[in-house]
Amino acid sequence: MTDQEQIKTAIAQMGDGFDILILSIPEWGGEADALRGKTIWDGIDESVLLDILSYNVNNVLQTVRAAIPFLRKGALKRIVLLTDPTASIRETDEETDYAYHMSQAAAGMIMKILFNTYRPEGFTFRCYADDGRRAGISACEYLLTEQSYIETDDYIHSDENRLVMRDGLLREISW
Amino acid sequence: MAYKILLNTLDNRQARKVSRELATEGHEVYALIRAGRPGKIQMQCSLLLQM
Repeated sequence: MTDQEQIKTAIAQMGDGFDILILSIPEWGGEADALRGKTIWDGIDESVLLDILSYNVNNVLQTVRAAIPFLRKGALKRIVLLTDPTASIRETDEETDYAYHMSQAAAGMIMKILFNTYRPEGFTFRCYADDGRRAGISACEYLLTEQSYIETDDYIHSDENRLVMRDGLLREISW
Repeated sequence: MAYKILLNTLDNRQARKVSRELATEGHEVYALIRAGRPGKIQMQCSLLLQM
């Protein structure tokens, strides 16, 4: 059985459908530890780097592919990404853990594609960037919050009609 | 309203925290568990116990 089929079989154990899919990038142990704390200037092993990227990104992609038919049957049809500000290409000041942060950036791209594809079907999306502070609202609160939606309003004024990444203080983090 | 929720992994600090909070609030929370390296995946979908 392929990875994809295994995931689909596993999700089917939940029943006919579900409401919220929460995505995050796995934090590996093992070989990934060989890269932990290293910068791109430290002579990191590229084969390990690619292995981590492949595993992390495929994990998200395979889950999404298998989950969409079940999410369609749910009441909320919501997809959530848990990430952190270091995933922002524009704002990051992080130099270490390149494979992990690249994986997060790729997950942001996947969310954008999902938004463009499934928002017209009524799916909703939340991206929560945890900056490590204990201020504001938690990811749990944020992902359950309803956002502004006025059908006639311009998309830029609606967090439901554009893909926005926010931290606990609801500040918008640029992609 | 209690929702049925799936996480793609628990191998992430934020994901573990969120799953605990959601389960505590009474939502039905599941997670995909991968045992082993790529190519040797054993996939499970586990219902997390309420904390």
